Amino acid sequence: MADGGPRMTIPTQLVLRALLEDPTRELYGVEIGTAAGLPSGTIHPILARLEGLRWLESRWEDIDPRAEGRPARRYYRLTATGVESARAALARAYRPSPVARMRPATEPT
Amino acid sequence: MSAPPGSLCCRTVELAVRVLPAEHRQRYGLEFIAELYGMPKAQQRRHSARVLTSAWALRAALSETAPGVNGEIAVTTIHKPLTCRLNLHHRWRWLSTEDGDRFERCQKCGKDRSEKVGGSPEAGLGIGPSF
Repeated sequence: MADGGPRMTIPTQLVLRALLEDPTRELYGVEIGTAAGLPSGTIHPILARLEGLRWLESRWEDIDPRAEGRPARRYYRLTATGVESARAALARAYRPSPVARMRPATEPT
Repeated sequence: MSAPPGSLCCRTVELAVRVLPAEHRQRYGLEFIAELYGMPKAQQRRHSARVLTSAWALRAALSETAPGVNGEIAVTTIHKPLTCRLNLHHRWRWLSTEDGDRFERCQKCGKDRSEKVGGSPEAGLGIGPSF
């Protein structure tokens, strides 16, 4: 991997930033979407990818569905490794501006 | 007591999870339905529609993160262009490190120009800029 780190997609960065605000707090999908400012229902691919990489862990909410009147939610939280990796990746995240992306690469003389 | 989701939303979620690998269907089906509880009806419809439209992306995410894959690569490099994979063409851009050193990196795949995997740029097909 290059020293400067790879580019991260903007939604991934937003999700990671939202989770890093309080790494110990568990959030379910809709809450993460709201905290990240992303439309609800669109963040599960990001969560799945992060979970597959062990950056995130998830568990079912421990409730009595009859008493609560709703099914248990799936709660997500950054792992210890995930906190470190996410901070490092966000620090290295680079995304050129649209203008810069359209400009041809030039070499210094 | 939270409002249960409507039947249309449940069917939409059901359709979405059918796209997923079989071992993940139950988990995500329960997760999506649970998220619909407590939402206003209009939001339930929007949410379930978005779940449906992102189902293929979720399937891809579930398939691509096999154990042992380098985390940052899988998280941040979703699609690597074929020309980059074959080392035929990169879109080089000059960047600076924190201590001021200059280096070139491909804007499309993140490869550094110093990494000469599969031959030097001069020995390639001559599509990209050469030194």
